[in-house]
Amino acid sequence: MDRALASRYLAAVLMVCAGGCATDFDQRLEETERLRLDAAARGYEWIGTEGLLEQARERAAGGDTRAALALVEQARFQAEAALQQAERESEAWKRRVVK
Amino acid sequence: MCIRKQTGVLALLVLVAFLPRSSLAGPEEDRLAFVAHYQARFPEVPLAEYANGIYALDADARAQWHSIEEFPPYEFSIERGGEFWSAPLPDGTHLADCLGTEVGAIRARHPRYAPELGVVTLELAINTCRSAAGAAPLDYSDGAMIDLTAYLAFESRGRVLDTRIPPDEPGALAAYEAGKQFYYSKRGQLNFACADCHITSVGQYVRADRIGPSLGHPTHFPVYRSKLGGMISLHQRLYGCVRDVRAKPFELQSEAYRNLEYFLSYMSNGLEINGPGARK
Repeated sequence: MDRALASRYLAAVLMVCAGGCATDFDQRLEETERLRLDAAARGYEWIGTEGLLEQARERAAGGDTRAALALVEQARFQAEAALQQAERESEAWKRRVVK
Repeated sequence: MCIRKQTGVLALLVLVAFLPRSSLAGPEEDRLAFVAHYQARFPEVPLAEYANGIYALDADARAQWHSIEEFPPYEFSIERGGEFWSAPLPDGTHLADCLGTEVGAIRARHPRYAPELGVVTLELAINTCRSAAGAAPLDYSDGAMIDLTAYLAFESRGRVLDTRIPPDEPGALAAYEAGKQFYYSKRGQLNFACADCHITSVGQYVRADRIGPSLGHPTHFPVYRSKLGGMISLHQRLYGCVRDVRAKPFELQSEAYRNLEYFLSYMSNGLEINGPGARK
């Protein structure tokens, strides 16, 4: 009896966690996709970012939310770095012009 | 009053004299500085030699190139291009009716600026004419497009690049400046600008190959690339460079690449058109 109760409790906890993790993933994915598109609009998207997000979606669809989130974090790092590069280069390029 | 005026003029002159040369200098100032950079770096290389790209700097590669040119691998492309050139379009006209009957002058007129289209490269001009005649535009990586440009480049051999930035077209200067900004901006995971390789590290080895100068880059396209076993356009080369620095490449004939071609072509003004070419 106690064993069955414990199993049901554990299952319930896992379901809640899975739902929470999925919500985190969706939000993080959406934010990262927005960052990627911002970098693309400025002409600074890096080559692997879109592919990482695609892989993340596939992993999430297969139920591996933890791996999916890790891929989104990699993509986010790239998108943010690309945006920093765009910001930096908006002025820095001028110093390289041959004079 | 007079002294104050003279002092003001003097102050202005001093200010101008000590101002750093602007990154927004005019195109002709840019070109002269660009040429001077390479001439200072490689004083033994005559200016006209830059039309030959890396073969201006590398004697071994030049010897190999001369061997390749005994049986030019781009000859079939020129032949096919001539046939495409002569073929009638759906409305019965020919490309010559749209681009001009003096075939040798066509390549030399491109890229140019048109307010409604922006920078008009040879490829864009061909597709614009095809569309006007009721033909489907050619894919920019399509063999037929490469063949047509190879034929037109061949017919233009001996003429010089004469890229113009009309002073009464503010859009033309803006396109040139956008191309210039692209050229000098670092991008991608490797954080490289075109200038990092082709200005700063020009002539240096990357593994077994030396990096070519940007001066003269546009004169010899399209080129047959031995490592690919086929012809590629200038924009395919630009695509490859952007991909190699791990940035997401732009579409062929995108505004970014057309502006870049405009800048590069202006930098090479006065050099002889010698396309199509052959490269490793």
